[in-house]
Amino acid sequence: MEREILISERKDKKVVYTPELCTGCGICSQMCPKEAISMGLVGAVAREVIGDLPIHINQEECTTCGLCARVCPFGALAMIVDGKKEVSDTYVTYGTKETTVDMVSCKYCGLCAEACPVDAISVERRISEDGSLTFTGKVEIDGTKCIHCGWCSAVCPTNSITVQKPFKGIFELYIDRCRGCGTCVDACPCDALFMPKGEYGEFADIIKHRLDACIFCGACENACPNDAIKVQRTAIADTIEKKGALEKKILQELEFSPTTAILKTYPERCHGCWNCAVACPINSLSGENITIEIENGSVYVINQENCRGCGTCIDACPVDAIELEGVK
Amino acid sequence: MIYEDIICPVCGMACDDIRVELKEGKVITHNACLMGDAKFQELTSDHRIIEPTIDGDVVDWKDAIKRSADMLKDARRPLIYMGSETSIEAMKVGIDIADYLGGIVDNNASMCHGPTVLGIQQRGAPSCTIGQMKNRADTVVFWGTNPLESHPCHESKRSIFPMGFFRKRGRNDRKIIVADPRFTNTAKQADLYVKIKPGYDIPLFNAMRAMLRGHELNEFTEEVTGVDEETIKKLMDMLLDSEFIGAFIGLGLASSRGKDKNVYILLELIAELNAYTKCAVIGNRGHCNVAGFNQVCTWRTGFPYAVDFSRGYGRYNPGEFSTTDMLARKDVDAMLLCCADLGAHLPRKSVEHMVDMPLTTIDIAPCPSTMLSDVVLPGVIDSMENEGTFYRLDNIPLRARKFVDPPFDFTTSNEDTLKQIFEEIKK
Repeated sequence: MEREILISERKDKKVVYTPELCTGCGICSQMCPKEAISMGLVGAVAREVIGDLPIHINQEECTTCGLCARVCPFGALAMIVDGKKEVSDTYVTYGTKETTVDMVSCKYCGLCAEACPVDAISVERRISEDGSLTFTGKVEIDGTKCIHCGWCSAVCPTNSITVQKPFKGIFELYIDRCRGCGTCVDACPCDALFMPKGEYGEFADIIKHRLDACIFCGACENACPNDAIKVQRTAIADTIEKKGALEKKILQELEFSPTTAILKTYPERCHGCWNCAVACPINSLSGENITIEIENGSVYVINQENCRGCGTCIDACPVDAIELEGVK
Repeated sequence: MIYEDIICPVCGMACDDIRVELKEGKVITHNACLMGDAKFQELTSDHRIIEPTIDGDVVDWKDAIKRSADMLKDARRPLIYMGSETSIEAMKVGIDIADYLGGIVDNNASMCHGPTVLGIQQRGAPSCTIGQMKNRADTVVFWGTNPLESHPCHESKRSIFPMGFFRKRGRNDRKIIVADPRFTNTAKQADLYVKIKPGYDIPLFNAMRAMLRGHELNEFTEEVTGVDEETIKKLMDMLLDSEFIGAFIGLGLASSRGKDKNVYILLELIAELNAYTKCAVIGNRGHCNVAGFNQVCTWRTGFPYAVDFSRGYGRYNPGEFSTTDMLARKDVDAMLLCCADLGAHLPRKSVEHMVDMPLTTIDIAPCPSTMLSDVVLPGVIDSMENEGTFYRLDNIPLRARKFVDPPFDFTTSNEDTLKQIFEEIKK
């Protein structure tokens, strides 16, 4: 059951937020004219090491303008007017063409359902009863879940599926800054980022990006603690109406303001094993300017400002001696 | 003052990256675990033994040395027990004393990873350094060992989390398998946890070997090994899918039923796995320099531990010449105990004989062993107060350097103390 959080209400209008659909891409934060939306600990939420939300909304600042709902590609933010969810082509999530299946050419093989990263597709298959050696059945795509990543279309052997992506863009990976913590992989809603195993005895790339699966939402950029990823949107889908206002905001390059987290430690539980400090991707990149250290046999946060809340240390700690309190 | 790259003289990891800060009479350690820090705090502890005692009374150093030497000289079969938290230079002198007196020399290995050593002697072990494990292993197996508690920095510095040359993603590049009867803190981090039945490692290894050779397992496998066929299959798939398996074995193998035979069969399995992939094994040696004693003893006597010189030449027979058994049988009549607290760890029957016979202890802090001793000589903390060589658990020697002076001037190291006793014995 998806929970809806009421963000603000004015007259007959309401903005509601569904955390289960939110990936922490931060487009809403970029769009908000009142700067009422700030980023949470996207990486830690994706890793499920903190019971927080990927975005934080200042309800007092919110004017219920609904621009965040218009721009959210996942339908996590929605505008309710007169008790009904507003659905129109001015919204990125509804304006993007629905993913459709050509039932004539579909062979019901089920590859699309297998590939779908958000389990939005269900395929029923049975042997035809018309005497031919074929399958028949049913393919259903849940439009509220679909994120238009294109996996289904790419894997379909009969090219029966049509997907329109909400954005075009550029994805850049600065591999020299990457420490392979895998936070981006956890955060990516499209399975576009992965860690290749590599051939036997060969070096594998630390992180690889499947450009065709990417929707340039930017969740990976928000999750990466080492700023190794840059996502720049260059266009919004043509089918979205009145997109001029959106383009001005979400296609521009913003000055990046990192989210700082508060780490809490429990020295009395700590064995001093150093797992957190070694696993911390910021520690391993920053050289002398480290974040966590072991002092006198117990974990100790040296530089709170450094922590970007990816949650890698919490995953590494076997004795629960470290936890994230939230955004600083 | 800040001292960098100090070697930690506690567990077999012998971490060589400790930073110690001495500030206003306090010791601040960085990169040392809870166990390591406790040892470094001994530098300023108020219970440190700084004066020699005989029967509890403070005496002159020379008198204590003479009394120790006399007790050993007068004995027909003295036991020289060289604990592991000292340098190999001191161990060498201890072995020489036993050789000279026709006594017995032994070490923690005999009650710790001795069976592992025996298993390796029988079968031979494909091994490597823990640095190789860090750089190459993509599957790490912990069998009967819980390094998070016994070697806290094992996982972070060498086995699970560090970025290796071929394993640049650290933890994300490795699969972890933990086999243990208990769901330990190490098991919490495992990709596959195998809950084995205590003492039934050999049937499980043999089941794995059978599977490796393409045999079907019979219906009794789960009943005997405590592990279902599906888990064994998953375990074998993970092992065979690896490029390099790093196996760490612990006292769960060496000290449970089967002992050295557990290790022997495991080494058989590893030899067979090496036909398909690469697999190396390392014993998670508990004490800092326990591997060092095996090395020194082997090059001095030809045997790794529990060596008897009563016939004028070295004889090796664990179970007969090992400390616990010799004490329990009252086969020794004097003892020199260096850098180990046997009083707290041996079975009661063995400790009872320690009370009965003349006992000299070299230690840094009061402990059950010092309470049983006739003579207590202040110990020097190797790698802090004197230089020395330590062997890490993978048999790699590391040179430890001193950064403070001992709190007394009558001896400079445990090696020096033992040499003074040896000189006195020779007189």
